[in-house]
Amino acid sequence: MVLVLCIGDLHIPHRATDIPPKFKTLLVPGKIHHILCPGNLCTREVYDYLKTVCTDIHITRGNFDEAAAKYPEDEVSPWGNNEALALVQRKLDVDILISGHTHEFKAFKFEDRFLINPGSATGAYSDVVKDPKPSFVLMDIDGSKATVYIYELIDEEVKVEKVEFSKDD
Amino acid sequence: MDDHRIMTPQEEQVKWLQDASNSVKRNAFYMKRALDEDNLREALRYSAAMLVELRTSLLTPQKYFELYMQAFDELRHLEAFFKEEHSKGRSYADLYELVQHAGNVLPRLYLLCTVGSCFIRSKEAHAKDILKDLVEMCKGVQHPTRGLFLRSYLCQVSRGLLPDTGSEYEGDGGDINDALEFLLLNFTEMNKLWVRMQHQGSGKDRERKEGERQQLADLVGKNLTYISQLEGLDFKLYQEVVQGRMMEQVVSCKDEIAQQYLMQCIIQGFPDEFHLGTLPTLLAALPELQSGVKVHLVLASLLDRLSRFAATDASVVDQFNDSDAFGQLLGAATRVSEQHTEMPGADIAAMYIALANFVGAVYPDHLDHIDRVLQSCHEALAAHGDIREDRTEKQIIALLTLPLTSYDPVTVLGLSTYPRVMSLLKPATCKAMAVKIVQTILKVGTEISEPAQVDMLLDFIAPLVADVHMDDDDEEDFEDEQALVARLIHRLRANDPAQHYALLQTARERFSAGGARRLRHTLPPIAFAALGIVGRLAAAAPGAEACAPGALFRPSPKEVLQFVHQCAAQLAEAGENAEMALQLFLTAAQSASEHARLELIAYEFFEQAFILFEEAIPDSASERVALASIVGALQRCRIFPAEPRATLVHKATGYSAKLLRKADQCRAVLACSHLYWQDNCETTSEKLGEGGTAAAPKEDSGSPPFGDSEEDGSVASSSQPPVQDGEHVMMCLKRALKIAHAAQQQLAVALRSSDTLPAWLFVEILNHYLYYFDQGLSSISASVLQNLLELVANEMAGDNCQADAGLVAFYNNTLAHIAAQKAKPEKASLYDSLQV
Repeated sequence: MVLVLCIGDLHIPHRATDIPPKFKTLLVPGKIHHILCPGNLCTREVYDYLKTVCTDIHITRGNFDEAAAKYPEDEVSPWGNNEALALVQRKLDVDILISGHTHEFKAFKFEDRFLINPGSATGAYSDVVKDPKPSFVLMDIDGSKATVYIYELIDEEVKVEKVEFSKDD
Repeated sequence: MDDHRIMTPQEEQVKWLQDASNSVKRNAFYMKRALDEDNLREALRYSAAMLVELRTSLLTPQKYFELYMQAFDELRHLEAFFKEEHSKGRSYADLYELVQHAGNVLPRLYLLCTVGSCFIRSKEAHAKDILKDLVEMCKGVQHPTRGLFLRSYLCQVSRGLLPDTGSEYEGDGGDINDALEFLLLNFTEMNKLWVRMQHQGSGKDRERKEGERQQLADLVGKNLTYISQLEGLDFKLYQEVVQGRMMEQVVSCKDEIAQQYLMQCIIQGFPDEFHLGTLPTLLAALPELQSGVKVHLVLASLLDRLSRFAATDASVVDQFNDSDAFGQLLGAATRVSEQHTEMPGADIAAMYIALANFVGAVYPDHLDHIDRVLQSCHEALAAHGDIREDRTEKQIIALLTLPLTSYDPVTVLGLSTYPRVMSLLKPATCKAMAVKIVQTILKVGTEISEPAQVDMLLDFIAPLVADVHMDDDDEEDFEDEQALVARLIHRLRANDPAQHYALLQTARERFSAGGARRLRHTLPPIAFAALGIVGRLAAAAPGAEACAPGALFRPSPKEVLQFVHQCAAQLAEAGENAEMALQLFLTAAQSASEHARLELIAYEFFEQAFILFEEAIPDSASERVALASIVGALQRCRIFPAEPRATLVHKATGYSAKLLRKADQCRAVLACSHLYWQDNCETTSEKLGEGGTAAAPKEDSGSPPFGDSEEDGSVASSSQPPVQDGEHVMMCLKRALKIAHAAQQQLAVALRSSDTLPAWLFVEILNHYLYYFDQGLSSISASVLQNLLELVANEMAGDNCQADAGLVAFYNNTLAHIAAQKAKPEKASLYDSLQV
């Protein structure tokens, strides 16, 4: 059993002050094994914070991350398009693709693979979605099965939903 | 065998204690043998000889205590014998006389105390008489250590024998007054002895003496503990007798150690109600204390007790108010700082911190009390010499930080006294305080919703907003500070978009003075906050802005977008921020297109982004990212009619040729193909549920008279149907193929034919063909796709490609995708003729 935190599009300080305190209390150090972040943190301070939650962080570069950060990148065009995401998924040959940018949470199965967009953990301003809700995703991966927990902040309350995926062999 | 070498003081102590202890043991042995033999005279003689050892002046208090405990234990045998004698018929009065024959005063008094306690217990004498006799006679020993231990012995053996209210010795034996008198007298005498210790011998080893005295403090304090434990001690007695006597002794002894210790003892030892009821007397003592006494600690523990007391019951706060406890406490602090001119500034500040803590705990809604604390503190410190010391400044920062967390920070900052206290700080410390203020506001989550509050807040954090004359700026600190300020901008918020906009305008004006290196931090958050307002304004129903009289003019979305434009332009001008400015222009362009539906404005934003792309993007890696962003943004925009759109798309597609590497060019062209093919899916406005084609706000009567007209693009227009231009898509795809071939040839020239990069590109191109095929693009027939499939298959057959596991996976995944599509019934007709 491996716990993977997917969190991205925080846009601190450009679009938001901080990760909501109610999220921070959930993100206790020592529980999470890996962090996957589809970019746009955007400062070192936020990176340092995520490091305290879990030291194993994999980050891609968002369009607002500074070039100096030297994260790997893969562009999707058109943005948020499922087919386009699937193309990237075929290219990277991955079972689960974590993407960002739209600030809209998504998790679904596409041709026996999974596409997950954890949304924006700060609910940052988006040119795609109006008033995005802060959200992040926690994956519990067990062999070919993944249980995906979606944490959303709605009216100052944390709501959790569960989606299960399994990969047929 | 004797050791004749010179011993260290510690070794000497051990040896002296050993010698004395041996003597005690020996004499105790003889004493007990005499007791066994029923020989009282001999027993008394040996016990006196044993007790003579306590006359030593050689031992430190710690070692003396060990010896005392040893003798104490031995005396219990004698006591038991006395009781036995008594039961055989000998009267205690007789014994009381008999022990006075001992030659030396110290042994005599120990024996007397021992018999005395038995005498009282037997009730053959009145407790009050014996106690009075003993406590008076102990005056015979005036050596500090010996006297202190003797009186401590007296205290110990008389415990439980006092004529306290409800005790069996009350009545003929006296009453609570006698019990109090005994303990108070013993306390006074012990304190005198304790203080005298300081003045004995040479003044050289003051530190050692002070250390020894600290060890003995609890012997003196024990008396106060016993007093506080008396059943008969009520408030009246405390107020009329006890407190006065104690305070008199504390003040008049004029000794720092004693005062420090005893004040704490009194505050901790007696009940809260007593303190509250006698506050004037207690507080009056504070300014009278010696200058070396840490009055702030005394006051802090009193305040701590009182605030915990207040927390027990709501009615306590009423009692506080009835006696104006706060006013008295504040007055005491003021008098202390006036009286003790040499008191360190840090300690004065600490005193006011204690008061602020008290106010925060007891009066969570009395900001006026905080105001008074700050004012008082300012007066005390302004007159003070060493306020610029680090220690003092630290305390002042703590004092200023305190109310920020317990009250609404913005209201606290609005107190007139707050800036006055802050002005006591050095400029560098002011900056640290500014950081504290910002951190607190972020932590508490306060919203700043009035332009005047923005101005005030920025005044407070002025050292962060613009340069003050300081050269010791650390680059990393600077970045952190500016990131804090940037985060603060999102706390400037108002429900009314007009008000919110006013806040941002005020902030931007102030930040503009901060110079280029600050602007790159502060402008983006302002611009994004403004874009949020555009969204709100555009989403509002057209009639909603009929605002109340006196309310702010509601700005038009266009006006706010112009503001964003200015921010982005200012950012670009500030240098080295081209990428951020470009991203801002692109985000604003989407807002103009999809939210506000202002075509010309959206066009202008794209144009500015293009200019930056052409002139200011520093390196090829950044160019690649910037172009991807341009294409991504433009692809989504639905506002442009055919002609302007063609111009923008043509330009963006042209940029792909500007990229340095062939692979980047190829991928950029593939991305550009989507500029000619918009999904038929929901548009943003439909997703928003508002705006849209019909509900787009028309010319709004409340907007400022800019002479808006159709020509300058301030009228919202409806979005265009999705573009699906198969011809241009094909041109892009073919160009991508051409570039991939060119890349292949280039590698061949460089003798790197085994590089699999071209094959990667071919598979990517194939995927894009598949995408458009699936979308029903008529120019991609099954045979066209078939040809491409074969081309890719041939490429993939090469050994180099087969060795690239990633590539093989990509290819196989693509084939699997085709197979999956073929398997879908609704796609069967489309994919039927395709052979894999």
